[in-house]
Amino acid sequence: MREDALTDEALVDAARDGCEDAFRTLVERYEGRVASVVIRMLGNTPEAEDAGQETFIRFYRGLRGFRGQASVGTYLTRIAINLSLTELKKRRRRAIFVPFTPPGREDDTPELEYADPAASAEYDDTADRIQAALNRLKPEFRSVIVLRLMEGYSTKETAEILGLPVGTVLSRLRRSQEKLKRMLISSNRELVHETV
Amino acid sequence: MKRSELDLLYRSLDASLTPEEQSRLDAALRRDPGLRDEHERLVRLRSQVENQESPSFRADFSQRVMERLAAESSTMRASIPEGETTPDFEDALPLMFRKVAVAASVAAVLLVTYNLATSESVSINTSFGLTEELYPEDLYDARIALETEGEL
Repeated sequence: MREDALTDEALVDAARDGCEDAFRTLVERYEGRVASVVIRMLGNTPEAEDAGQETFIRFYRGLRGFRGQASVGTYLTRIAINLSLTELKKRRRRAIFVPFTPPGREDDTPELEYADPAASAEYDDTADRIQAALNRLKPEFRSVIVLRLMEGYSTKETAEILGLPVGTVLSRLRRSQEKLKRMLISSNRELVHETV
Repeated sequence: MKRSELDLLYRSLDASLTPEEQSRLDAALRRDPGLRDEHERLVRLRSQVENQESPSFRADFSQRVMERLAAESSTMRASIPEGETTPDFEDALPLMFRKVAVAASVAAVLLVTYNLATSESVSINTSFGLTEELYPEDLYDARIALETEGEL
């Protein structure tokens, strides 16, 4: 039977028994989801690619311990988001030693997306403006928006993936939407001024 | 726009409201145009965020992962002497703790021996290096007390 026709459970079992093709199929099946999480969290940067690879390496190393309590997708998302948050912490530490104020900042949150070219580009497109606004959110706010709104997890699943109480996720969702709204209104105004 | 109604509005988008809360929110939306505008703005914002195109890795991502896995496995194999296999974490854990337990037992026996050899008396306390505890009755000598009181 072809690997890509197998269920996740069967592929995990086969990969656990050393079948490389089974593991490769799992990577191909879930690389889109992992890419979506790490690139939205870290921008389209080499660190995002690295976090994506590391997500699957950790999954491979943990195959023996994977008992299927969560689906493979949710399990991978949890690894990916944790690696992204760790990377953002590293960036924040680096930023303390190399202070840098990106153009167009308007709130007091530390800028975390230095490597993203969109951060300094003109935002002539809604998608770019949304991604740029997202990049300016603090990691704890960005992660709830990515998981709940962009990846489509329920509030409860988001809370489980992040290891937070549902109430905390709800309050972070609210605050992050308020911030996004403010930033998008402001960037709209800038756009109007530039056009005029 | 009341704060409590705005709270309900935000919560309604990510959690289920009780029937009572839902009817309170519906009534507020009918009554307050500001809240209705806010609702529309939020729905529009969320739909823009939700409909963002999914980013992807460069082509051949799975190939790069498999190459990295192979490279890491060969590095691990290179550090293990020929003929031996890579120990699994589950197998390695008891082995590691066995070594720690043996070392701790030897250290404990040496310590007890040293304590007993250097102390004047043999007791549980001295074997653990503790000083003998003194009780008030140990300090009280009835003979001295009676002599002091002139009864002896």
